[in-house]
Amino acid sequence: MTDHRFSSYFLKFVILLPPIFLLLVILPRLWGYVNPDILIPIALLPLLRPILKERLFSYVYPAFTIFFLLITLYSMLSSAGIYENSIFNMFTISLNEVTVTSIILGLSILLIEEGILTKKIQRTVGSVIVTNLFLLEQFAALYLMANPTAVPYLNSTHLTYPEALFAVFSLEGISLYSFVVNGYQYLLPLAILNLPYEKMILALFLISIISLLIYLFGRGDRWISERAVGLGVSVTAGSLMALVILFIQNALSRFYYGGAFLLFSLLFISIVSMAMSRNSYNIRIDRHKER
Amino acid sequence: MIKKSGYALLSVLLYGAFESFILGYRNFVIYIAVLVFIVSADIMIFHNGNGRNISRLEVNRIASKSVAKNSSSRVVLTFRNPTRRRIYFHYYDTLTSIFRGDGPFSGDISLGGGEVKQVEYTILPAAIGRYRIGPIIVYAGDPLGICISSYILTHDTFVGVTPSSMTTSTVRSERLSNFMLTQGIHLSRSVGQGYNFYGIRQYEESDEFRYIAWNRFGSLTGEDIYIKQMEEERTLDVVFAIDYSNGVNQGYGNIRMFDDLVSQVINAMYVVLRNHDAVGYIISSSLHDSYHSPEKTDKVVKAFGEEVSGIRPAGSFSIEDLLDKVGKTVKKEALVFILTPFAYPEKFISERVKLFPVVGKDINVFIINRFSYVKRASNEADRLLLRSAVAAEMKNLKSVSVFLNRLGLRTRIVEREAILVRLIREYQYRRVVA
Repeated sequence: MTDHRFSSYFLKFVILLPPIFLLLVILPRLWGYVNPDILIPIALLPLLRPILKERLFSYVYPAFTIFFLLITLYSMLSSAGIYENSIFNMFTISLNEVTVTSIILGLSILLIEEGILTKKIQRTVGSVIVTNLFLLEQFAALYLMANPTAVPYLNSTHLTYPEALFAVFSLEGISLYSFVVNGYQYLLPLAILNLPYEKMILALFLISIISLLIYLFGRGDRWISERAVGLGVSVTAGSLMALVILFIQNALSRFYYGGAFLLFSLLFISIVSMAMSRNSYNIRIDRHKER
Repeated sequence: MIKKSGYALLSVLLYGAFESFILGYRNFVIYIAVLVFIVSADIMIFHNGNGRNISRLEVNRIASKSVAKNSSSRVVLTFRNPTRRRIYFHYYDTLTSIFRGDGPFSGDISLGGGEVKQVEYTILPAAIGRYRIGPIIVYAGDPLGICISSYILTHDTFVGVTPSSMTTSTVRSERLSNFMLTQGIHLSRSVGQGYNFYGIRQYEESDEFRYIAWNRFGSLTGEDIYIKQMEEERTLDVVFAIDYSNGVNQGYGNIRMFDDLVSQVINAMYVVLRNHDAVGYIISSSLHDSYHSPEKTDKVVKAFGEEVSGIRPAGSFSIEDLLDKVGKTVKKEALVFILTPFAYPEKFISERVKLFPVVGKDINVFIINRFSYVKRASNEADRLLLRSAVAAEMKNLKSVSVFLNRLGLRTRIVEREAILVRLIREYQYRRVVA
């Protein structure tokens, strides 16, 4: 299922609009917390794909990772005073939150680019999801910096970027811990923050869903009208199911069981659909006799 | 069945669900939930709808059970949708490599409830034998292209491919076969004592008195005596014994050894029949064992054609077993032609000479040179390799030939192009010396 047409790249770009929008919002605000010497090389790596051949490009990421790890090792050794070399000093990086933020943002840009350039749609969807995780955390950290009182438990009036990011990570940890230990979540990190651009992001997510469906539908060129009917039925049925489940989840949120209900509903429906598929392959039909 | 890309998509979405669950960001939750439900709905609706209904399709295939080689034969496929719902699918009629399909042997069909559709295509067989068409495979995909459902509908259809009249040229033209092979000389009659008058010649002392042509007495000098010559019908039984083991199943493209052997034997059979001699055949291998006693009619040829169209070369070949069979079944005066490539040679060592059955018949062995059936090398390196392999093979075949000659079996190594000519030459030689 590969496609090299311009329309496929365009559709993948549209699928990735939510993280692209988040990146455009975050990057100018976080520019003071990033090291361009780390961010830009990481972000430019996928652009080597059209230049290099596929076989050669497969070595790019491992080579860069090894190079980066060696730099980190040297930086650690030199900062501890164990080993120092004047030639290697030009590659030294400071091991602080700036580097971490640069890596996270650099990886987000890299994943967005890979999501557009990749030949497999599941990688594009994976990029959407992973970059959303990275960027929503950054987005929440930025919001916390601007509104330190948004989280009642923090009791703080001023937060630096690393502190805000740590606070978001802590809230995620608490959310996971409460689910595992208590069976429900009493704290949803991003739900309690009234993040801006709410409607814009929702609209972009919906556009992303529609683009994904168009992309998947457009991969086949057979039985267009029949498949269009089938797609319509699937979208209607799926949306209705989602609506009902989200409604119940909303109702259960008061008792902190909303998230768990939703998660188990999604798991259940996925398992059912996989189970249905298992019994349907290559059944030999013996009742049609040759004449 | 969900495709690998479908499983990957579902996995990614479930990971996203977990992530959205931890973050609790409302918009992201809606995004993931809607996607998971749409993808799951697509999978479930497909597997309970079109994906399952294609198994209910009724497919009927009508194909001729016997087809002549190199002549096209029509195959008719009828699809019927017995359900009330529309079914769309792709079908593929699996042909063996021996058939060249022409026409819609694969394609896309969409059938409404109760609708029937017929498609026709032709097959062009390239070699004789019994071959399989089918089964018909139908498959359909879901609207999002993440699932596929495929079913095998219908049993296999077996088609017997008979020898083509194009390759058995002697059937069509007696003049052609006379010109090419026998030069118009029929050798089945022998002059001697018989019932049919042949001519007269001058009397010799050893001649019997009762054949003197008294009405010609003294016609030239007044004292000259002539004698009537009579001719007798002397038929010869010719039996073609073919190695039909895996060893003859070699060649490339449309050039196959068993195919050549069969068509050239049929050609030779017609030449022998025209000479008023009887032909029979033996098809021999560890899996095929068939004998048709010599007859003077072309029923034998037809039976041979039918028999080879129902089987394919299989099993192994043993000349010992064949000689044993010849010794037990074929009449003593018969002329036997054995055709084999000795692709899997037995141990032809001197000590084994005495182990071979003593047949006591006029047997000619034709060792078919396998290199006539090897594709010509395209580059110099392959050509050199092939040349050395040919040299080794020829050395081996010559030693086999020497061994068999020691047994009293007249043995020759023949090329593909010379099979018929050699057969007829040996037959004529036998006719002359008989």
